[in-house]
Amino acid sequence: MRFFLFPATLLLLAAGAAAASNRSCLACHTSPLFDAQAFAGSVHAKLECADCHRGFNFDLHRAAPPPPSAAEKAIAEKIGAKSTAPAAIAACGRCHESQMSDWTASVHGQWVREKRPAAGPTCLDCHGSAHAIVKQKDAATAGAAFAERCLKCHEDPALVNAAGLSAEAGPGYRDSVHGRLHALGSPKAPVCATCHGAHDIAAIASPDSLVHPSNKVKTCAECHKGATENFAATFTHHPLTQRSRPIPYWTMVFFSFLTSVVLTLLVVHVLLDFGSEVRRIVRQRRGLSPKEPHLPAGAPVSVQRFDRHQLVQHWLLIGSVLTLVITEWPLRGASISTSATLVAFFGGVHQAGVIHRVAAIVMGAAAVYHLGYLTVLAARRESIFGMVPTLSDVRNIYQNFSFFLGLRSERPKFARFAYHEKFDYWAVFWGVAIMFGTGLVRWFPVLFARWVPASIIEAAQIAHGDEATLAALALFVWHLYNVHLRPSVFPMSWTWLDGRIETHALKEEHALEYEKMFPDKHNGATGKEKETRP
Amino acid sequence: MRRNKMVAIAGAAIGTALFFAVGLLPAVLYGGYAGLLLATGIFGAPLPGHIFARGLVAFGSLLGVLATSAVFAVAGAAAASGLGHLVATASESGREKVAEPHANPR
Repeated sequence: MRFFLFPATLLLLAAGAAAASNRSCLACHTSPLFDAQAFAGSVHAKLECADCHRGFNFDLHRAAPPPPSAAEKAIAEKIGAKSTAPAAIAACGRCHESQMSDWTASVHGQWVREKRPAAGPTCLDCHGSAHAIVKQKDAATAGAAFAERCLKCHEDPALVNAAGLSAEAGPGYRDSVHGRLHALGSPKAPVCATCHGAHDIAAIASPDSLVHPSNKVKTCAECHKGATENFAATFTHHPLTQRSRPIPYWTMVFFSFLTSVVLTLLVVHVLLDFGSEVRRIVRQRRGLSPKEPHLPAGAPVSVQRFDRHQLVQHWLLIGSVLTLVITEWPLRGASISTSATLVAFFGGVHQAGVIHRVAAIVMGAAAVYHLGYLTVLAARRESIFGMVPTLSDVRNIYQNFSFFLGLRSERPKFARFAYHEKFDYWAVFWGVAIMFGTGLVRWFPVLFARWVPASIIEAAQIAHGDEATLAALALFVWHLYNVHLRPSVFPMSWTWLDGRIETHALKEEHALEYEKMFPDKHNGATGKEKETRP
Repeated sequence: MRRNKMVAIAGAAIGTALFFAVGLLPAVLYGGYAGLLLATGIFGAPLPGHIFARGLVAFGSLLGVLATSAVFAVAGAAAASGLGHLVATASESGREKVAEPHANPR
């Protein structure tokens, strides 16, 4: 028992002595010169000031400190210009030997020791003041804090220029999926040190670097099991250029043009249509045209437009698309302030990812349901070609634009599906194919990288995001306006809920279909419809 | 399904008010970001300061607002219609029960 009591007493005495000694220093070194409160909460709180700041020991019973080593001296001289206590920084290695040895050999350590255009980072540049280093809650919090410290230097234009560093590292990381996860507070987000190493970080060109071409696959495989060279090649901080990565580059350019041109045309169409609707309302108010088209006596209030299967397919699509959009955009625009709030609503970025994938499966199921539905219709010898574009659609576009511009007094007569509805249908067809296909590549990148070149995988990732932008904006602006928000329909068409269209709306919007359903207009209903006008 | 236009308009109004309360800022930011991505894809990064590049960012922002407000308005109208339908159905069935003749307990 006495054997244990002796060293314990010594430790207590030592701690007491440290506190006493520090109290002497802290008598003068007070705020704002020194934050004693932060120091008391730091991991170094139990150290004596003189453990790092040698030569300032007021304890008379203690022997004189040993002189600094040659390495400590060299480091202290090099960082003298940027620190008020270079010898204290150089002293970190006395306790943290292994880290100091790794750092000395690292690219950062070399910059500090050797003559370089800019001073390299010391312990304090990454860890902050030794007086305020606190124990992080977990590795993820520590990693996130370190990422920001790396970026503080690697995104500093003055330092990047002076040191001749790559200006792409910071923006490249922030724009990558790793950086976006980090921005949204993911505990699993890879930070700079995850791929590049920490104390032992080496220049990318060095074979010792974890991201040197000879080591990159192994480094990627630490998180992405089964990663191949193809997979490793999909991640880089370098921006897309025509020369470096032509396929992803041209994919981006193609989708940017496609999205901009299509959305501009759709908005122009919406504005022209809105203008024609306003004209119509003015004419109605002046009594120049009837409020509703004349219907024969006995005509039903509404007729069936979509069957139950079509409604279910549409509901599945609405639910899945809305979910996909609101779970995708926070990750896509991770740097936007509201993204973190949105992903928190879903229980975090990874939970949002799970919900996104479930919604994608629902969207895929809706697509399969629709294809099966078309097959059953075809087997019953029912027409499945109503959505196929024809020459009359081109004529209708011309006539409708003439109407918009006041060159024609009436809208063209549309059949069961007008050209804008066919556009919606085929846009969704194309959109689901692109989104589901490229989404699978994003979901299983390691698997696809076994067979597909890196450039195709990267192009798929770009197409997924850009097509999402096009689809979301086209659906919510163009489709919602045409179906629900046009002044003649506002605030909502009920067709998507019960599958029925009001007969006067059918006559106005699908005149050819109306004439087909009610060939004898004077006799009114065919008798097939149950509902009648009150 | 009952089609009550006034109820749907009230729902659309509530949806639009909700959009202004919680959706306007994200819509402007995400729309602008979408515009920024489109402009970068066309004009390259860093984005030049000319009117077309800036116009595309502004266009994206405008579309973000239009798209999100449309979703809120239609969702509000649909929710109000659904609620109105449920209330009307419940009150009708309540009236039917009241109108039913009571069975003689003896």
